[in-house]
Amino acid sequence: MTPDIVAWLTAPRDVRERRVRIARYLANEGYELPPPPSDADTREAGAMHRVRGQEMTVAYSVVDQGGRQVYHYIEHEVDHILLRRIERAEEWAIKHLAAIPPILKRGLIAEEGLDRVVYLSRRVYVAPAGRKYRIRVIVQRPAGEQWYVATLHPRWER
Amino acid sequence: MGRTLHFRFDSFDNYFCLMFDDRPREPTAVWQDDVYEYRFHLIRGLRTGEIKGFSNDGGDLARDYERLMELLAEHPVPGQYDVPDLGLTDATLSEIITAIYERYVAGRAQEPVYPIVSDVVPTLQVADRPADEPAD
Repeated sequence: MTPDIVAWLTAPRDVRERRVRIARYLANEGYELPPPPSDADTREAGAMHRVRGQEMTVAYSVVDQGGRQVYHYIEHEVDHILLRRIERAEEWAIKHLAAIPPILKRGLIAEEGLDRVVYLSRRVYVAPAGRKYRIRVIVQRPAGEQWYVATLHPRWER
Repeated sequence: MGRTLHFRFDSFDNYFCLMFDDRPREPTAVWQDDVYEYRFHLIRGLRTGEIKGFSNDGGDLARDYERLMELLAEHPVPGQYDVPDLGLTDATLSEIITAIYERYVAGRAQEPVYPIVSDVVPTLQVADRPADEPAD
C-alpha cells in the first residue's frame, strides 16, 4: 500500500466517509466489508468514549468469557484495524470482523493479563493459498479506561 | 546493503510495521507471535511462505519494549536491514526497534499540562496607584 493510497483512505474528516473509501478500495481488490455482527450488544451504539486520548464511537460491546465488557469502536476499526490489514496484504481476512463477538465469548485464550487478553478462534480456516489459519483477536484496557478490541488478524496455523 | 524495509508508526497504540519494499504482493498472516509473547510477530506470505515484514500489532511498544528486547535476544531474527525512514543501514531488528522506541516512544515530546487553579475567574483588580509609584 503506497503512502498515496493511505493518504486517500484517511483524508475524509468523517469516519463514515473514510469507511466508504476503504469499502471502495476493498471492492476494487475483490473484497467486501462484512455486515455488522448479529450477536453483539448495540444498546450503547453511538456513545462516545475517550480511548488513549481520542474520542471514539461505540459500535457495540461484548461481555467476554472472563466477564469483561469489551467495546468495539467505529474509528478504531476503520483507522487502525482495517488500515493495517490492507497495509499488510491481509484484506482477505477482513471478512472475519463479524467473528469478533463469538471469539470473545467462546474462543481459545492464549494469554490473559491484567491489561490484555489474547484470543484465538477455535475454528481453523483455509486461506486463499491453501494454508491453514486461525483468527487472533486481542483486547486491551489502557490504564483507567474500558476494555476495547485492539486488533484482529489472521495467524498462520502450523 | 541489507534489504530495505518500509516503516510506518501509529502513535495511537505505539504500533509499528516494517515491510520489505521489494516484496511481491501476496496474502499474509501473522507467524511466531507466541514465541514473542504476542508483543511482536513475523508477517509471512501465505503462498510462498516468505517473510514479508515485522510488526507488533496487538502490542504496545511503550509497555513491551524491555521484554521484547529480551525475547529478541533469546530468539533473534537473523539478517541486517536498511530502513531509510529511520536513517538506518545494515541494522539488526533489535537495533531497528530500539531506534523506533527512542525516536517515537521515549523521545516523544510530552504535551504541556496546565494546572487548573480555580473555576472562578478572578475579577480584575485595579490598584489605586501602580505599585512601583512612590506615595505622595
